[in-house]
Amino acid sequence: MSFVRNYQAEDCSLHSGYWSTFDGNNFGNSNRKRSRNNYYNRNCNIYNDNRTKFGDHGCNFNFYTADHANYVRYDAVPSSLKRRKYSVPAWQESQQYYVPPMVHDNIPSSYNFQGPPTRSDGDASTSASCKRDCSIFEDDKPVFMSRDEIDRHSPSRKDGIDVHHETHLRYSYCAFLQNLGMRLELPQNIIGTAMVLCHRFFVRQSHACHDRFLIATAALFLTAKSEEAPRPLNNILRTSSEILHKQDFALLSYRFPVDWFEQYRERVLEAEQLILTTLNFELNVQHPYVPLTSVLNKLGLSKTVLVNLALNLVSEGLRSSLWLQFKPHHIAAGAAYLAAKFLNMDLAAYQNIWQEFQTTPSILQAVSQQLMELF
Amino acid sequence: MNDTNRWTTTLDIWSSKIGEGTYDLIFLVRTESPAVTHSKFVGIKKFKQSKDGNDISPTAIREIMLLKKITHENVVKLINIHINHVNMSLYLAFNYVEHNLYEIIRHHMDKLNHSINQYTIKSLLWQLLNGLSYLHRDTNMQVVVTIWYRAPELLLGAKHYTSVVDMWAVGCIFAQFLTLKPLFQGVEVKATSNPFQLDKLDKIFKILDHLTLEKWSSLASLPHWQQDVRHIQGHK
Repeated sequence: MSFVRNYQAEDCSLHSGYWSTFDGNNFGNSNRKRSRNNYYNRNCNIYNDNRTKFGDHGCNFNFYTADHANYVRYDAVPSSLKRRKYSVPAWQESQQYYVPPMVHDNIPSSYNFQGPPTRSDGDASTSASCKRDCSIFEDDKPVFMSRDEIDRHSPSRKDGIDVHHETHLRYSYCAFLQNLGMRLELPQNIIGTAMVLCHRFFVRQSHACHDRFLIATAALFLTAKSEEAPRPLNNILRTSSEILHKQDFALLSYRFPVDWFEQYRERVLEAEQLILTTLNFELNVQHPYVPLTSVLNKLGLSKTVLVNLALNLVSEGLRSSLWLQFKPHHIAAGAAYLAAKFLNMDLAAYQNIWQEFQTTPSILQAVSQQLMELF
Repeated sequence: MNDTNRWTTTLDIWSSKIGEGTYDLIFLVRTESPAVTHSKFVGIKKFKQSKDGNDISPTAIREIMLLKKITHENVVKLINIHINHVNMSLYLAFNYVEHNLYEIIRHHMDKLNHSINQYTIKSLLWQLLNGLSYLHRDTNMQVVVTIWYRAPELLLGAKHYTSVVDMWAVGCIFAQFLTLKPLFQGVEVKATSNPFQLDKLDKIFKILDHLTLEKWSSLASLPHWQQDVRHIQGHK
């Protein structure tokens, strides 16, 4: 059963007024040095309150246009963009892989760009909805939430972004992080941790108030430091701007004002602080890779196609909100269950396998169902 | 939290600096809010800025991640974290612990002029081991320490080491409780990131005799043993 299909996303774009990393608003006065905490005093200049539908405005805006979930053949992509995978030769030859697409980003070249109308309930720091929703998550430890809670209580809902749309926004920043992390030669677990930190961030803050690519860049910078594999900030900034603009770094200075890089640097540093305060410094992320391999090893299933496929499913699962809902060993169990299903294997034949994963049939079902939805 | 803002803005006015580390400054601050802590005082650690001077240092991030994991009666409790967004400085608030081991030793040496009561030593050592046992078991953490308490494998440049280096340190502290003097009080060399600490090794050799490959087979794999074996042998 092939679990890769071509899927063309519908246009899932947010206009650049939602504070694109390099939009024209940011360079309105290049002589004035922005204060460090400007990020926190920025209005959520997104939508009119009397808007009829999401993204409906009385003036023209530039949009992010991205095929966020375009699945392509693995071997059709330049090696620099290939997703890191767990290798078993037979598996490599017979299957296709999901490749994170390039992030398309149309950025206005003029920098006297007029911003969108301010929300009437806008606040000096964030929108009322952003403020309201932060208070739900004030506990120290990452609390697991149900999918329904995530879907219904996401702060983005109050800003007119529906579940379907938010899913695509999630896919897009994960694709961006995968690309950025691999170009920076960071290990997969660090890239995965950055993705999870972004997921945690966006169940506390609205997508409408924060540029997901800026948050993702800061999250990767932060994660690399926390996992003792720091990368120089300037390297991260250069690489991320090359990905976002699909242009060599040297050429970008012709498109933007003189101090654009310094401003971008400041924004990422402010975003780093915002992530830390929003997540209450909760940066510990446990991944399912260890429980998955250790349980399957114990059952004599190491170095099998099953392990490989299950590991790939776990890596795919990073794009979902599973890490906000389930413990690592539950995700591991769901991935093993689904992998076995794909391969027509009966894991129930292995005694106590689900007890080894400390899981229940309902959890297995929920995890595997959500993993299936990714394909 | 308002209290933290008050602590950080008035830090220099009505608080006293009680310590300084490689990466941080420690202040004693009086708090007016009973909600924050039962104590009237909190210890605030202000991290020095990173080399870049902008981002939050990896050291600070790692420490916070570990402290947030830790809940144990023998490990100092992190109460609050505050970032000053204006100058990017980071503050950690801890329950204030009135004394440290160094003060207890100094007090017995200078004021009382006699050794620490054996029951006190037993209690202090038990608390130390209890906290350390928790850190090793629940956080897989090694507490690499100052030069006086550093294990020979670290002095010989080991890049990979286990929690046994902490047991060496506990032994050194135990000896200091008994004698009120550091057991191996070597002078630290700070020329490079991992310099050869001959003076410190010499102090160890004088008490415990010289290291040999017969006594310790894995010595051969330690960087400074390979590079500086002549120095070490010549010091006999």
